[in-house]
Amino acid sequence: MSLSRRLRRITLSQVAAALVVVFLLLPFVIVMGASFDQSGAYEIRFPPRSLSLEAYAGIGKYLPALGRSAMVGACVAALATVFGLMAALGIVRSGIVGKETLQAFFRLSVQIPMVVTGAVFLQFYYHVSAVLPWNPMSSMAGLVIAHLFVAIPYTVGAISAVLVRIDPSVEEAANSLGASHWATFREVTFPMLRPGLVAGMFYAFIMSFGDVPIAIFLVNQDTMTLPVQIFQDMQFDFQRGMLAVSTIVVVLSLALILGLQRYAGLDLVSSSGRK
Amino acid sequence: MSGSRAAETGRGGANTIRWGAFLAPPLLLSLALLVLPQASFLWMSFHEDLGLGQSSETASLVNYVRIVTDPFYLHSIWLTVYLSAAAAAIGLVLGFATAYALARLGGWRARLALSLILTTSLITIVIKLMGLNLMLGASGLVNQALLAVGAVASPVAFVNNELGVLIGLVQYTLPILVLMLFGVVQTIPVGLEEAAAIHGASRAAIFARVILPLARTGLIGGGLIAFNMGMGAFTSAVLLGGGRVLTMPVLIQQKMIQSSEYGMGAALSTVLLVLVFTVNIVVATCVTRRRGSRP
Amino acid sequence: MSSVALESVSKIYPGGAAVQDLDLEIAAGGFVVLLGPSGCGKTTTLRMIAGFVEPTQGRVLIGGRDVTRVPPRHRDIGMVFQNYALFPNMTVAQNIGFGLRHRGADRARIRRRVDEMLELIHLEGKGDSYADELSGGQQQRVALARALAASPQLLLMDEPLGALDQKLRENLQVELLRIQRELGITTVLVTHDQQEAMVLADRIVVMAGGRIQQAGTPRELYRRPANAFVADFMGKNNLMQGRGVGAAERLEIDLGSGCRMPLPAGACRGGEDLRIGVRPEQLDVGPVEGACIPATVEEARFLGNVAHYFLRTPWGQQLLAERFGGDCVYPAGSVVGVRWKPGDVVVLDGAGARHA
Repeated sequence: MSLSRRLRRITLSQVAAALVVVFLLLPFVIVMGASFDQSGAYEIRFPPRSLSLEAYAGIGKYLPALGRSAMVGACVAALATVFGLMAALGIVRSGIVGKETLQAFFRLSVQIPMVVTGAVFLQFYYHVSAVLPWNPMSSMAGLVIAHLFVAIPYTVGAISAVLVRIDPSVEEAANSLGASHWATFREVTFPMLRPGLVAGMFYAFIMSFGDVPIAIFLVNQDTMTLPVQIFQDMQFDFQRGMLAVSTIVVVLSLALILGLQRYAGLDLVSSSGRK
Repeated sequence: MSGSRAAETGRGGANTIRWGAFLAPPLLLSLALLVLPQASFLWMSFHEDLGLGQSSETASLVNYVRIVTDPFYLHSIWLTVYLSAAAAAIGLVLGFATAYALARLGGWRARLALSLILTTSLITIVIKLMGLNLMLGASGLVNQALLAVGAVASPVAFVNNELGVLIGLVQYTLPILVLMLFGVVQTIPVGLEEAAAIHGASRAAIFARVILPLARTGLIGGGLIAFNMGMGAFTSAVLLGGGRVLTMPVLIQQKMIQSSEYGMGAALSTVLLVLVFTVNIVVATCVTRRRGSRP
Repeated sequence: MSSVALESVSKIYPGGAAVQDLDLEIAAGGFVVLLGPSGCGKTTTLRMIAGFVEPTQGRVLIGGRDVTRVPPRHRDIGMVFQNYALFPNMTVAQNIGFGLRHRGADRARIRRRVDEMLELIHLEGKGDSYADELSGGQQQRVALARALAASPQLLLMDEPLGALDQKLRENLQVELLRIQRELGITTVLVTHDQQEAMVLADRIVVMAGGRIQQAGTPRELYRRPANAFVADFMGKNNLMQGRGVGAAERLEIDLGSGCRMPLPAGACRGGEDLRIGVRPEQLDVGPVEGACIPATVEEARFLGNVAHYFLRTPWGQQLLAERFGGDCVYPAGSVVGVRWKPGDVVVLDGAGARHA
């Protein structure tokens, strides 16, 4: 087919689609490209004029925050998955009435704007510290709990989606062959649940790691997380190191996604149904 | 058939697991985390701030009164709603076009594109905003291109204003919209479009008479979600608004952190919540009423 | 091998009773088929024997032992499900060896047994495949092997061939029969397919509405159905209503429109309303003469080894006649005389209960 005929066959929506994809990807490309730029003053140029790893010298400032974010994220992912699994089992498997209501309830926390959740928890922790000997404000545990509140819907949703499709006959078969309930769960149900567990854990981690609106209320200089650190520096103290650490985060995120897709059966498109 | 089979095959022999018990811990935790903080927060909103983080002992509606009478707050409410609605609308148009093109393209290419789009939403938002800032800034890529082509004489201000926030909101909501609408378009059989084309309908007519009506509920649902996301968007408003675009989320953070006006912050949050839920309920009832009135 | 007994077993749900007051005895080594339409209670009964459903009333005994409160894993049973229920994350060998592994057998013994089983179901060499690499028929054979590997006392099957196509079903039915004969294991199978029941069962238990309608050998059920339900469920039947006339040796049924046909001796007391059933293959189709029903041939179909005639009687009922040979002697539109031998008639009265 000649070029002009090809061009005529392209529809408006296809052009829009191409532009959208570019529009969404471009910011990351720019950040990553700019991180390799050598420059004297505050100019950030893209495309970079000359290549250098100058920016990477400045990542030291961000590493503690990066580590903290990763740790909080891991805790949230683990806890949210455990609670989500229990909730999913209870909702899907028990003969309880009002399944829809329960599922809607577990989706509730995601529908509240994160800013409000952050503000609410700040307030709450203030009261808690007045009553209990423990101050959850500016503590990792406090942040984990606040994130957990918003992460549980993801895990409940992801695990329920898989659990619902598991045929109970498989577990009955295991039982009839002499396996105890725990053995059945361990050897049959759990492996079948894996895609849901992985998806849930993944989304919980991503949500926690990248969160700004909640963390910004609950962290201080000692418990700073990476997104909040970048957020503040972008406003008040732009540094080249930011570009470097961002590039690292992008690369790590991509690696995580690709790795999970290949080895843990994560299916992005079907698992991120609706919020 | 399946109904009678369900009646036949009951579950519950000797020694079955009581699954309901597993539900208790997460349910209690979520309930506690939902109710307790909200309760104290709500209480807070009914107390006036006395400066320096102190609040008055007496309950009053003074915060709420201020919000609905002071033009400063009213403007903020309007700004938040207007930006969220505009971002939702733009997002729907762009998102639907993209979703349609991808759905009809199908195959591994569509899946790849979707994965890429989704991935952009999974990486922490500050990085995306950083890139947007660089892209749209005075010496950014877009302005460089416009200047080079001679379309403008001096750099256009795309950021540090409402336009910047709007662009940021659209970036924020597009991936989810594309994913949702992709699913919606997939439910519209290509056969319908082909049948219409055979009957001589133009592309525009097919779009308006075949595709749009079938996608209606999906579009409304997606638009609502985008609107909700916009109403709660904090990071984009700050980083792309240059501190000048005072949407409600920005105000809330300012009140709570910077000026320690906890009562006002709580009141603003409550107003935001109520606003979001009201809009959702109103749209939901309109949709069902329209559907109900159809013959 | 164990016998199975159900004593006055009922299962009552808030929505109604799935099984009512059921008494059933299955001899050790026998092959019993629970047959009936959807919702008749056959699957619930099977699951009560297995232990996945607890009876509301009554007792379940396996090998003389009361197992009503015993969970399935202690009942020493093997179970096969309609959709195979193979463990997707395990190989065929691991599936088959599952039961033995959980009973504490050692590796070597499991290996040997798995190989034996693979040979029994003719799937040697497939031990390392996964379930989704196998066809439906192969998966079902694996499910069977898995159930039998630990040498249970009882084999329970819930519509095991339901998901397979016709040819495959017939082949597997023969396989199933062979294996059961070879192992001599007490087997209870649930199906809605009457043909399948006839092929496999020593005894068929026909159920409807949560109760046993009739239990007996395939021959007994076919030749001497106890009521209209069984008569119509087991194969095709022509059910007709009429009034008994005459007395003693020369009983006849008045079917209306002047048709009177012979009944077997002692079929009724005369003067009462009757329902009778005559099998399609027992209807003789020929010229209109003597004692017969003059019927119009609506359709004549060639079915290979038999011919089917759809006949319209004077009183407006459609009858099905099946004649050997395939070729349709009487074309559509012709009028034929329908006859039967008195001894071929099964009498069911108005309520459908057995008379003769």
